[in-house]
Amino acid sequence: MTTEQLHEWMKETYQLIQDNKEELSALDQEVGDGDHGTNMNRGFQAIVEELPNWAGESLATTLQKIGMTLISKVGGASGPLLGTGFMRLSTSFKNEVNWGDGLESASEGIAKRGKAEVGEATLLDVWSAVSKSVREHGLDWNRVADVSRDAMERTKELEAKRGRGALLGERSIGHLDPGAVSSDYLFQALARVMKGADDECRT
Amino acid sequence: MSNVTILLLSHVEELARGASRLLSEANAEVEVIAVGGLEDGEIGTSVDCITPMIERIDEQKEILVFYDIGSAKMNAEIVQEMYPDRIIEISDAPLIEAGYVAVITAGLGSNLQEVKEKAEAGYKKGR
Repeated sequence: MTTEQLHEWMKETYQLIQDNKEELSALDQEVGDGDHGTNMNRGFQAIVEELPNWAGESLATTLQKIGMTLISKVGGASGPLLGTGFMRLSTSFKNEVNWGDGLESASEGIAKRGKAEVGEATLLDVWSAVSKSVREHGLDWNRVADVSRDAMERTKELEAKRGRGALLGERSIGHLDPGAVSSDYLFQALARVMKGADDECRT
Repeated sequence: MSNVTILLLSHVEELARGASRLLSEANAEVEVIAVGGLEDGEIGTSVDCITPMIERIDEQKEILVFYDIGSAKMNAEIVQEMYPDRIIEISDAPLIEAGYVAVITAGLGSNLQEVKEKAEAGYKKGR
């Protein structure tokens, strides 16, 4: 991944969040406090606005700045969780851009920060599924997109165990986890940006 | 003089201010610092709003954090990691009730661990 691709990734993600802001908040009204769309929009808007100031920074430094911005700006639980994921990616990519290592470290960081486990209907389910898939099947961006979407959709069948959704107990079943949905946007955008780059190389 | 500063972390600015006013009434000599809401006044907690408060607290002082809900704790933990040289403890006990006991205990000259333990064990008695 180049820094240009990283910038593109953030812009694509912001676009998806912006387009689906109301949808995200509506999902959050079902199981949480209804501000997930606004929170994520605030965070990614701040990142996209900062991108020009980060031109010339290394990949690892840019990832770190993205992580810090998410921690500072999002305001809900997703801020520290996603922020920790990006900080972990940054540390991992400092030595070598290895998505298997990076995503695994990011998932571990998110699990630790949220004291969550896979299968509790959170954004961790998406990060962990993608990380596992890259580990087992190598870097196939089409697969990344599919695995991410499947993991996101599976949160609908699961009972929420973390965050405010957990207070609903079994009544949380049947609702998508908003954090899983926005993390799926992240991976859909990543796959799109990286696939585009692969296509360019082939022609 | 107490060596413990109580740091209150809330999602809402007014709640933080109100909590700090109430706790300071227990002992005005104990430093109580409150942070609430986001920079734009919206509901939430932000590391950016917490770190300036840590900077304001004398480096010799130990800090006991009380928070209101969920994500406030994650941000408190991030701040804890950002200041490895500072002594910062986070309590899961209720902000107001346990915070109140903490101020009283800190005012008696107890150290951080004692203040935390007394606050967590004793907050129900004060009701």
